[in-house]
Amino acid sequence: MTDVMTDRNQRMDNPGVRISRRRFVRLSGALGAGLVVAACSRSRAGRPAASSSNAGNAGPAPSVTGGEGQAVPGAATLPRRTMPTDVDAYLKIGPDGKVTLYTGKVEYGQGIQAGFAQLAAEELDVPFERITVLMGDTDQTPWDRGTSGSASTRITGPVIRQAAAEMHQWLLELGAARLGRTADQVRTENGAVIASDDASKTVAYAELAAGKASNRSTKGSAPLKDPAKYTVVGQSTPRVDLPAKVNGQMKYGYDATVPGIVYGKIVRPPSWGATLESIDFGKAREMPGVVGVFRDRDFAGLAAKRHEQAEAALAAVKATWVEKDSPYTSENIHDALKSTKDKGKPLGAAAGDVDEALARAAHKVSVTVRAPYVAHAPIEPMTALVHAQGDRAEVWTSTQVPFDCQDVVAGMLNLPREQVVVHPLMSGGAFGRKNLTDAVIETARLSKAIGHPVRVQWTRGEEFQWEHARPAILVELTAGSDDQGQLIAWDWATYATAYFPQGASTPTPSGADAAANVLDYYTIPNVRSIFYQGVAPLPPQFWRANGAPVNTLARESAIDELAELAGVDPISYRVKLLQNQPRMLAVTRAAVEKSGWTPGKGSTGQGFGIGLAFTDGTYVAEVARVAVDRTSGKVRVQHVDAAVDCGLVVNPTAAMRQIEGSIVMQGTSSTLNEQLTFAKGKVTNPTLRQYAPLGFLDAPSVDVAFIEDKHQPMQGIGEPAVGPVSAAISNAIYDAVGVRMRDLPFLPDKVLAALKAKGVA
Amino acid sequence: MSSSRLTVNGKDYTLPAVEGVTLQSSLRDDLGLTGTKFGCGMHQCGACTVLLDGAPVRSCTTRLSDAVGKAVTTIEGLSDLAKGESGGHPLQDAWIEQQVPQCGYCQSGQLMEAAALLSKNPHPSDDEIRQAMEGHLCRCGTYNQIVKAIQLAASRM
Repeated sequence: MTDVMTDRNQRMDNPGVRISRRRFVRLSGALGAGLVVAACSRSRAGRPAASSSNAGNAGPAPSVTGGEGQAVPGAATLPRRTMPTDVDAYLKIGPDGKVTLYTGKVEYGQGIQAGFAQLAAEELDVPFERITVLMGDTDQTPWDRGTSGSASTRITGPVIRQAAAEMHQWLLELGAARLGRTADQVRTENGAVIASDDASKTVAYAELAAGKASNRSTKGSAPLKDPAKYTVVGQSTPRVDLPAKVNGQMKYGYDATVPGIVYGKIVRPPSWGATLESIDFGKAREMPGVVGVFRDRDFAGLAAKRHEQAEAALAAVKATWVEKDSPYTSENIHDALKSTKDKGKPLGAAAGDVDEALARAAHKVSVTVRAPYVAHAPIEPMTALVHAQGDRAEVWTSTQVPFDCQDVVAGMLNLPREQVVVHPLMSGGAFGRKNLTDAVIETARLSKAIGHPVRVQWTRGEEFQWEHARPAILVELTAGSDDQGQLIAWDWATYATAYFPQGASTPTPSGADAAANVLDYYTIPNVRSIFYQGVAPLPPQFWRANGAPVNTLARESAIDELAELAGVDPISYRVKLLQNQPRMLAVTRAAVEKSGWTPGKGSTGQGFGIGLAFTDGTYVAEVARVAVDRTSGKVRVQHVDAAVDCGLVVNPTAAMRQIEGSIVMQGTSSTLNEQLTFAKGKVTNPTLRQYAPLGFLDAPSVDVAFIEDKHQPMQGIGEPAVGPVSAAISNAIYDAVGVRMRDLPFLPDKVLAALKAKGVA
Repeated sequence: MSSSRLTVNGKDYTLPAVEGVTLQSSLRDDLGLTGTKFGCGMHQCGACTVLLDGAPVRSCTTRLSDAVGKAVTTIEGLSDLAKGESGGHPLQDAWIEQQVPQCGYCQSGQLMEAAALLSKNPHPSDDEIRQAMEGHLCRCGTYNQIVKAIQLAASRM
């Protein structure tokens, strides 16, 4: 078996630092820029002091499978951490002139490994190739809240950019002093400080920085480069993770291994919330290769030397469970949400007197949107490798939240935080699912119990059954306009459950989050928006763009319907509404123009439809062109044109790939195909064939255009393009065949039923 | 435990012949060739695709015993089949040039299927590409870029 573990033992520059031998997983050989590049251990004592952590609560840990809401002991009492403001926590210049950038964020295909390096290279004035980015390892990188929320470029990008600018200023000052000049008499280029009046007077950064800390702060005011002068930011610099992703060398969570590894299996309940009544390990314990079995209340598992042995032993376990008799199903969930006893809370936009305005509206529409639970279904299921060793623990896993993993393992194993190290590996799809630490918690428990390094890797069936999914959402909207085409009333209700993200003290209402605030770009004087908390028969979790598809569908299909009542086409109607919203207007015009907008007017079977959304600081307009087969009800999304204003674009190709991918998959696939079906706490379509994510044959072609002002701040990329897709498709279906689809997903038999009800099928 | 001889990427290996063990498990766990990925174990996602005597198979539902005596090619051996300008297989070069992978997890299987396609049909149409690749899921939505990269490689082979 290939041994991917290598012991390293290197002396560090800093005196007085205790070196500890650590084991590393070498993750990528390509270009020396994998997720973690094995180097000397950065022992905690040698690091610049992190920002003072506030005393406080790390928040409740997420549930462990088989027992909803089981709190992980200890994690909640660890002091809260914040991102360090020390520049030296992020950047280090080596004696060879190479620059290492440290970030607690992780790369999983969004392109931030390249993007962050581009920002640093630009401000530091070093070539991009000289920068190595170390990501996410809890022993080597600064604390980070986790990689999600389209926040990497948007929120951490400016921190890294400023850190690089601060370090640049420090080097400039050091270099000036060395060259006997003042700071305004020197410039920087290619990793060196050069006298402006004599290019032969030069000193390299490596020489200036060797063995020194800058002691600068990311809150400093070192000047930033004018974006008009960028030579690196704004280029489609090839991502450094690509070669290893095409030659089999990139290591994912499922690939991590250590000498002595055993393979673990958790004894899963038959449904959510079931409790373990009895378990008989008798036969399993004796089977070939089994190294241990374990039970503690509802948690039970075993491990064996080979996968097949663990699976065979699992099959020989006899367990009886007491199931919750949940009455909720995917068929009745929206009725259940609607009949909640919760009195509702105002959420977001509120203004004026909605009832009065509706009473005098010239045109009124009522829109109901139903969305099912949808799965993340990453191609790589959940997995973790944990070696719990008494006084310390080491974790290898694909995760969006390495520091949360560190906290929950420390809590679970009752260890000081510093004695737990998490090595994040490349993630085979995340989409919000790998924000949760459930796989890590159960693997840590099993490793401690049986005394071996254990990898638990989920089957596809487990991945579906033990999902934490984007929950079902019901939206009811009544909207009114005056006879001048102005929106005057907006009465909105969301019925859904709330997310309980780890580390948060208050729940986030699902559905009432992304793209929910109509006032973000439409002017409406009378608005009411209420969130009604409902049941969660399956546990909820953030999912790429969360409720944005649902909210945008309700909003934008209401706008289309109001336009029709006013006798105006959907584009002109919106252009008039967006007169005070130049950025949204610009993307709208761009998408429409590019699309060759040619209305089918409800009768040709081909149609165009538009959707707009403002999410994570980014304006998106999308036009979908669809064809509807009136015999089968099948909707074919032929093409989507997207116009995106996300401010400064760091890496255009990487951003375009993210936007296109999110439109094709989380956008189109969730609109046409996806729903988790369930009853009595059991998912009833737990295979990829049944769940049916969109494939090659149904993927629309996509064109993405950026409407970019380089002086606008960098905004979100990962999620904002998902929201408008459902709306654009729904509006296009209406343009194609005259029916309004608002019940997600738009399966062929639902479209057919709508056509028949209208008398056109 | 008896043993099996397997030829992978041109090299011969002796493996434990565990009852019912899959080719995928032998490659990943016994030989450490982890470029071949687990996605579903049920022949429904394509991530585990390798070539068996040049034909694409899903290693998750192929028994080791069915691969004995045949030549197995995994992603780690793809560049042995043909050389592009940058030293990898022309498909690998095209994949990088076109910036195809996002998370990258499904791409080993995609590349192996694409290699098999081009060996049978060196100049496929876009529709033929989509039909051939249809069993491969990509949750990051890279389908259109894959089609472009296959066309790019085909134009150079």
